[in-house]
Amino acid sequence: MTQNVASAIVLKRTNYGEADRIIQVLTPNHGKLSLMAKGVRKVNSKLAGSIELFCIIDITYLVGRGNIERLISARLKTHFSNISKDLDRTNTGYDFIRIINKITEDEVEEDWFNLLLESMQYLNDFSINLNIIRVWFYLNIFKLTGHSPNLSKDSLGSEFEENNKYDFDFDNMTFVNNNSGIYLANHLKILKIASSFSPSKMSNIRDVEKLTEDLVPLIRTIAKTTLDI
Amino acid sequence: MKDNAINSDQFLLKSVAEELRLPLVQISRLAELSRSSENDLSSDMKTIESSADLALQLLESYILGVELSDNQREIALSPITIGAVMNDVAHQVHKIAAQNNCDIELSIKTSKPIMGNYEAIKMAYLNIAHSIILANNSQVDKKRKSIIFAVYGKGTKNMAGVYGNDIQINKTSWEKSMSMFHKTRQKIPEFSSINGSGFFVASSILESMSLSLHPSKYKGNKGLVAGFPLSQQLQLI
Amino acid sequence: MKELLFIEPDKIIGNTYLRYFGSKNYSVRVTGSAQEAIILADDITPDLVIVELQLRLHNGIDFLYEFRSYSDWHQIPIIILSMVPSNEFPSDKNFWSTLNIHKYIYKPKLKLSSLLTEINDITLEKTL
Repeated sequence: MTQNVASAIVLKRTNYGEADRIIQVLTPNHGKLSLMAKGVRKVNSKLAGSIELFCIIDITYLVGRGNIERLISARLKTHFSNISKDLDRTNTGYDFIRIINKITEDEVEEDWFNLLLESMQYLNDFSINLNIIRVWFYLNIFKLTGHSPNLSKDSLGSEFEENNKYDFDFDNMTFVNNNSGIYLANHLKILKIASSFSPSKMSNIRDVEKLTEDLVPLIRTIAKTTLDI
Repeated sequence: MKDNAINSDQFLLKSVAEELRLPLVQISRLAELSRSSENDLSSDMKTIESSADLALQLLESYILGVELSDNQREIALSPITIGAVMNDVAHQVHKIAAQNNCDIELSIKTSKPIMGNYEAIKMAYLNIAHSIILANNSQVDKKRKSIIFAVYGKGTKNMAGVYGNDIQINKTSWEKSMSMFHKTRQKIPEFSSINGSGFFVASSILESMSLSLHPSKYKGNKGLVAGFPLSQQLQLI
Repeated sequence: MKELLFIEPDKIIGNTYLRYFGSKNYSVRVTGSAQEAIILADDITPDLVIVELQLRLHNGIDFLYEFRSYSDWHQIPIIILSMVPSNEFPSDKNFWSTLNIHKYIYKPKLKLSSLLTEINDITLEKTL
């Protein structure tokens, strides 16, 4: 049997039988894997152990014939422990993991692993506002799935104007010029920046916390309607 | 700038109000339990008294901080020794420390006088001490905790700090907490089981006296310290 | 006797749960640690779990995901009894359905007697 080693991020854990667990992980080069961890009893299933969420682990596993590989060893490489110190970040972290788990199939590219890894790094950093991270995450999800909204021009093909207000057209995934709209040109700029720049860089933009706070409900609705997440 | 100052005050008030929830819930539940119980209530009454005192302490400190920063109250200065203040604080937290399995240590290395306001400084350090003791008030901790009140000379200042053997706070995390306390629910993530507003109230009282609270280490223990400038005139006396 | 497991970081409040519900014919365990709660649950298999979200080290959400990862614990009802008001806790439908939360209660608002009624209803439901 072939043995493989990989860096991995845990997506999900479920028990199996009396003492075993199935761990679903995301790896950069081997996609999504389901691994059987044998003989892991509940009292040893420590939350501070190597198979917990918000961690990068180095795994060694046996490649089998079926859908579930056998986990031989797991060594904790990085634990993003700050995430668990804040309820909102914990909830957001689990949400990000759930989203990536849902929309990725077995054959996933390295981009997904990197997105999840960077998400946890940013969530782990209390100096970065949570809404900035949320907007950044969702815009990158849209980018990777090919569902990005049109941020170059409005629904009529015109450039976005500083003094205009906009609404979002979910059917056409574009912004519509509307006097009673709630989004300003600055909101759109933030969305544009979010798919190209990191949350740390975005943190330096003036009023970014307020702008991202306004944008979170919109991007969540876009995610729900286009990707059902 | 003014808008930021107003927001900051509102958030401090909200933070204090949130912190008061815990002692009030403790009092309410204990009182309800005592009503329904036929057992001896004296121990429950002591706990209720202690919770109520803590809540009052926080409120009084907050009011003082607001009055000092708004110049509603004058800060009367007189020659004091910081060691005496810390001694007083240590005595006052003795009961609550015992209730929380926390040993008290005093380390007063200098008695050089400074010009200061005894009551205001005492109130600030009471808040710091309570917060450090209560941050460890968890059913998780089995080891014996300790809190150290330390006063020592450093250059032209007397340093007065409160340290704990179970505290994890450093310069970076403190600065982040101070800048973000109005943006997050858990003000100081290292103290995730308490609100931490006692630290901010203490900081606000000291700031009104142009003093700054910052993280520090003492004999391997981490905590918070402020530096009190020595008075040159008093040195000459 | 029904088993209640409280995850409550404050000693004073935890002690009132122990005494009050203990006097109401429940077997009560209280811990402030998410990890210890997993060990206790393995030991006693509670009929109901009541959890505060703001804990030390790990938080209540970490505990809930870990707890629900065990299929034999999927049907154990969970109440969140927290100092965090529910409107300040931005969670969506996925959170509730994934973790199968029975109820979210804001701690300051519910007296022990009312909590007893809630607990009685849930544990009775479980029996029927």
